Amino acid sequence: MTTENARGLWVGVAAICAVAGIGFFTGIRGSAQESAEAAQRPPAPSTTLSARSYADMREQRFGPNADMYQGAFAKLAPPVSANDKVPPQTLADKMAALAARAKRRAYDGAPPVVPHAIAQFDAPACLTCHASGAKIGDKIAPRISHPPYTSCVQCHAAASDPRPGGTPAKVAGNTFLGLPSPSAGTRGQPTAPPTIPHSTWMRDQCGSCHGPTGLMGMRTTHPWRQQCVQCHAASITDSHPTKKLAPLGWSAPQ
Amino acid sequence: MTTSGLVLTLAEDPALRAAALAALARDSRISVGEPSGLRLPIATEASDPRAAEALAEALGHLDGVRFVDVVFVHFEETDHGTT
Amino acid sequence: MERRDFLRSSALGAATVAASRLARGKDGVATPEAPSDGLTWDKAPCRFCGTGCHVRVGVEKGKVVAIAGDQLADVNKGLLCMKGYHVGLALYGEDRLTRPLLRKNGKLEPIGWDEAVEIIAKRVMANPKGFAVYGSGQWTIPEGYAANKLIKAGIGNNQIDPNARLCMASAVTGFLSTYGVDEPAGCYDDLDAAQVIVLWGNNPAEMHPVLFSRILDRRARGDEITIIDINTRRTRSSAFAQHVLTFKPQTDLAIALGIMNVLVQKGTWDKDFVAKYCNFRKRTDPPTLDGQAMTFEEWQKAIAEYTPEKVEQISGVPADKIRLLGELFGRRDLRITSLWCMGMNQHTRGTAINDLVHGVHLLSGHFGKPGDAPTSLTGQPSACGTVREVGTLAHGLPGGLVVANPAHRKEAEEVWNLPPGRINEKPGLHTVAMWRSFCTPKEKGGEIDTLWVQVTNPGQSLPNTNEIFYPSRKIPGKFLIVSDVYPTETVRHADLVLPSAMWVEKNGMFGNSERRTQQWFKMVDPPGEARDDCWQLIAVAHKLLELGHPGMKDNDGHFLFETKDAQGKEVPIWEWKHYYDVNVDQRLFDEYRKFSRFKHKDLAPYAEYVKARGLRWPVVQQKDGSWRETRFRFAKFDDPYATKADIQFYHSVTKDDRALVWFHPYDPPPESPDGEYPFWLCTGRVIEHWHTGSMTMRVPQLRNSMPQAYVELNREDAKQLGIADGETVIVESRRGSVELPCWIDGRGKPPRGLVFVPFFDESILINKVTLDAHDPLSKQPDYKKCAVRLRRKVG
Repeated sequence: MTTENARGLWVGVAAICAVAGIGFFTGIRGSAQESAEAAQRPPAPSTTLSARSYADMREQRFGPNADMYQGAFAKLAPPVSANDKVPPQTLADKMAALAARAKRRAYDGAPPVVPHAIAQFDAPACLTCHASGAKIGDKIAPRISHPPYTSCVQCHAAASDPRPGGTPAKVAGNTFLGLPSPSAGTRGQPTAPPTIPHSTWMRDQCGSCHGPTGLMGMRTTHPWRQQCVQCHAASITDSHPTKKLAPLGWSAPQ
Repeated sequence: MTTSGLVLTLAEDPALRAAALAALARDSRISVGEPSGLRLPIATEASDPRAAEALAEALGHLDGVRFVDVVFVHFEETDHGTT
Repeated sequence: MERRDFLRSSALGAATVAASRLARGKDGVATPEAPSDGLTWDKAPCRFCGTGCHVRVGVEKGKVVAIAGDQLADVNKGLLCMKGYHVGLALYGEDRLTRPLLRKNGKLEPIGWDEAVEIIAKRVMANPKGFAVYGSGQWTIPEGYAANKLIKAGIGNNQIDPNARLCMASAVTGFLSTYGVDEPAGCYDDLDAAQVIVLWGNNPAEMHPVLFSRILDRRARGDEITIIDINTRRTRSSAFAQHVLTFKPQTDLAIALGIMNVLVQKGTWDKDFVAKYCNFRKRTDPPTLDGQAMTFEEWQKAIAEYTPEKVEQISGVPADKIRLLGELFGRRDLRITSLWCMGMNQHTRGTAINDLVHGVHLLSGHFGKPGDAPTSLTGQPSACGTVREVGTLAHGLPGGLVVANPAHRKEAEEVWNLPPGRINEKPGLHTVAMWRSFCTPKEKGGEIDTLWVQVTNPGQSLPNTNEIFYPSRKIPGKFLIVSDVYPTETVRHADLVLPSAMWVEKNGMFGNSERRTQQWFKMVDPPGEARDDCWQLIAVAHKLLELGHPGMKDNDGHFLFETKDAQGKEVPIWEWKHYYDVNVDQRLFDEYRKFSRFKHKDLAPYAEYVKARGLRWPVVQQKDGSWRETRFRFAKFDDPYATKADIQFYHSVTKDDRALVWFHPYDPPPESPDGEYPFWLCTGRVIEHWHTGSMTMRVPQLRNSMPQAYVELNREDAKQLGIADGETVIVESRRGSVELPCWIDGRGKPPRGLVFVPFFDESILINKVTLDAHDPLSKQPDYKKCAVRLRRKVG
């Protein structure tokens, strides 16, 4: 897919995203402040594709996550370029980023849950925004990290009940202790590039998490360098996918 | 005053590790936390950032320390002029 | 000073958090010999559906902590679905059953295992004829084999049937009546070669997601694939299909007949294939698996009335779409694979529609080449392995043998070293009949009085539970035993509850939809006093031996499940502490393997499965000693048993190596909407949950995404009924009713006049509403269509 980089078209692209009725913002609903801004916002100029206001869309339940857009367009920002300056990041940022990631995953390596409402039916619509990634205001749609796999909702479950109404019965909890995320790769010597501390199986778009729209603390300090695995070697996690240890109770026949 | 949080990765060799721990215990600028495996969290206090950096570097050169990660640095307002 | 202390403790706090985080890193340089944090990986097939993906299971400190797709697995090539990625969490619901429980004064109270085993054995001794086992396509192969042997070789009343009766019995009768032997000829490799995929009442995007991805991923790589979705409601799979054909329930029969009609009218059937490999059949009254021979001319005459226009009238599918299907099947340059699952199987004409779809492929020659296959999928991980192959059915014996056939009984008696005549020739009761018997007082002929349920949840999954499940709970003398891992609807109504080990808490083997036999080892201990289902069966068998049951000994007076160690000394595997002294799975499997030769379903030795990510039978030893699996059955280029012609149906019903192309007319269903009950009800599943949700509803990520059942309703119907999205609706049939929220234009989109309810939710038991009418041959009930009415709940 060709990435649309012309900034002038960005507003249109964003509006198409909205019409497609699929959510992509990693944030939750707009804050109170944003809503207030939205209320004061003048009607959208007729030159954009968005003939209807987002409030209208919401009233008509146009798309399951139409209300996600509220306020976001007031903060329309240009797409992030690889040449943008990288702000300094601290280990505290990294810890916060890891904690944010862990919240959406049952264990390290689990597919993250989707933090926003989604179209239940038109699964392929996710790619409207996630194919190349997008950023509007402070909301980010990460670029898909595994482009050949496009049946998104096969693996990514919604984080919350997608249905209106309903009062689910209480169910017992779960005591599963998931494997935590690794926090850093290793370095052969202090100035060497660190290895990749996680599995890269089915994940070849490093920029999806480590690019300029990644969480602070996990972003690359050198976004202009695109060939990540040239310097960053895979860790042991990936090199022994079939590592087999003696099971409990019984040992394998010779 | 500059306060730093560091994680020291200690050597596997118990003798080297013991020597490093003894050196840390002797230094009044250093508070030692609960180790996690070979990782030892410590807090250091130094007069200014330059001294803090020098201390961290010196710790990295101890025989029983394989690696130093700086995870927290706090500069008092008064430090600004000196760096 | 205070501020300084605060800063120092903040610094130390940050460093401590960081240190513990860093300690988790796989740090090979700073700590090259750092003590491993103990994470180990091993292989296992996924616990859920019949796709049979392999997962890598990460275990640390005796607990499963991570799951990854197994890159070495042919089935899934490293990919999983949302259920598979979270399968490890299924072990850790807070309410796992950890002690045997006995109902005393209406309450389930903890008892010891010895007492529990003795209670079962004494009930069997008191009335051996009244004892039945209701098993599962989630039994491992050795578990099902042990249960089948206990009933068929030991107790001798043939009263064993599985929940798979509810899920793929019609597929079995379809294969038997067409090819003379069960299970698909093709395999998943067909999905890599087909240019056209026809989904017959099938929603693989939600039910077999990894297989559906296998198709979609080809598309993403640039392959042109036409997906044709033949359905009764639009689903996520429809969203990926070029052609969506929505038919009136039951009329899939007419669509298949219409395709055949077009092939004949246009003269585009595969004349060479038909002349060489096919015979023609029609049904008899009453229907039988063999039917009655007819000539091709008679057969042509019979289907002549099913013109595209007539089919449009019956089914509601436009005639030009029937022509389109007919024309696609008429092309020799395309490879076409049909997929189906519950839509065609849970059908009062299940055998007929299965026959007809096989017939479409045979008639058009879309058979036996990679990509050309009629392939039924299964819903359970070992419906094929444990039920169809091990024969845990009321009429079955292992290896495709049946109790009614004297030669088969003799073969089984020889393998089991039993006195001649030990095996009873009379089949036991099929599932619906078994539960009806259990729900009928003894004086009225309900002979089953002790029913042992393992690895399934009939209180939620049987149809029409108000009639065939709950009544048993009010009849004195009816004793329900349930082995399970969580307090399900069935457990709540049990008299005796046995806590079981699940999945990687025990050794096991499964067999998936494509004839692939898979093996795994125990990786973690079960919680509390939970124990293997297989051990439970053997412990009861040994208790029966102690109590003097004559069936528990073979010809030489040895225990049916006698197991010796390497030194030839008997191991008391009926004692839990000795159960894992030997690999009981391996012993049972090696015995069972002997049965696999009778119908050319050859299995390899256990050790081969330890090395492999499953092998597809027949697995035949090569001259160099290696073991070779078979991908395309009956095809000379791949199947070592097809030697005479390019395609050889070597278990042909007609004994001439030909398959049967059937004619079955369209007949209306037993219950259709009317003035009083104007809507069709279709039940089914959603991607998040597996079957009755006893495992997946305890996985937070899956439960959060779909926490409650709902009724899917067409927007226009909702408007007419005055029901708004999210409002509570009462869905009612002649048999029962449920209340649940409605969801309009949600996960699926039903046409006007049809509603859909998933059955995973134990708080909304839709099977109080469904009917237990079933196919006359397969005895599989129809969960996909009955008549209901809807109203908004007021107040």
